[in-house]
Amino acid sequence: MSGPIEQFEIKPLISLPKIDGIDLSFTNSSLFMALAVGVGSVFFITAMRKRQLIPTKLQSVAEMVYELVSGMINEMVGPEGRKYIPFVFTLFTFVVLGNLLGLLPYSFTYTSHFAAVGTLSVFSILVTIIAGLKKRGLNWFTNFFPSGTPIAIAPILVPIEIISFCSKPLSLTIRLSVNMMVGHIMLKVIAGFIYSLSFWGGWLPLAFISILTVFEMGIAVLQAYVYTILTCVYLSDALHAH
Amino acid sequence: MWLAFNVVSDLLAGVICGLGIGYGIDYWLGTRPVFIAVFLVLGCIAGVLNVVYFLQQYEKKRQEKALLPEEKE
Repeated sequence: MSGPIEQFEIKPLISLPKIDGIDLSFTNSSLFMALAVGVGSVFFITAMRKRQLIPTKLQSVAEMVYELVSGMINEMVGPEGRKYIPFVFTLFTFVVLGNLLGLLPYSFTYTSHFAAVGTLSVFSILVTIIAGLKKRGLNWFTNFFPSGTPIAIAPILVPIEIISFCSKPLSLTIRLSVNMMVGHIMLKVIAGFIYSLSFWGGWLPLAFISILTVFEMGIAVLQAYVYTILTCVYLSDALHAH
Repeated sequence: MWLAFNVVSDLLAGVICGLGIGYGIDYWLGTRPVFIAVFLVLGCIAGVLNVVYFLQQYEKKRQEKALLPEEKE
């Protein structure tokens, strides 16, 4: 029986030679990222191909996802955030598909890895920085020193604000990946109980794991939602003075 | 429940970030314990501030919309 941590192991599927000391092999993590992109693209392309006025089932699901994201942007960022709907929509789809594909048996959850989610978060924060710089120019830097604060506390306030800004991608990363990791370890541990309690005792953990799997699906969608909505909050922080 | 996770990750991220920046500056200047201590404290403050900002915003949103569906703690 495999241990609860083994599911997070990264195995190279196609080994490629190292370039400049960096291992560029195609791993199971990359496979599932590619799969998420593929599944997402195929789903939305097939769902939106007909574009009927009265939507089919598939089309209404696609429209629901779009409504969710555009509602989030409208609520959090306001009308000037509409430019960023494609970005936020892609982010949401990628994260939610990563979480949901990770729940399938024999699959790999790339959203449970710090490196994968960390890169994603750093890129989304970079997008908010660029958006802020484009909209407000150098005024964006006043985020680190809100107007109206006495100049005397600047030496303390500015480093704190800078650290608090730097901690944003880290906080996004920890939130998503720890949630996914904990959920998957819990599932594996309880699945192990079924095995070790044999035929007579195993029904209880089996019932429990069925409930837990449904719960995990909820967590998968909810965490993707939280990840996206916090990106929207950071985007709105970058676009407006506060 | 997700609210609690938010708060925890914000606090942790502040501390880790402060620690990382302090360690980086110390590594660069060769003054091992000085900046780690300073930035650790600043990181803690930043983490708490992040939580305060987040909860203020959350509270404002919550009062605007009487009840969010996923807000069961």
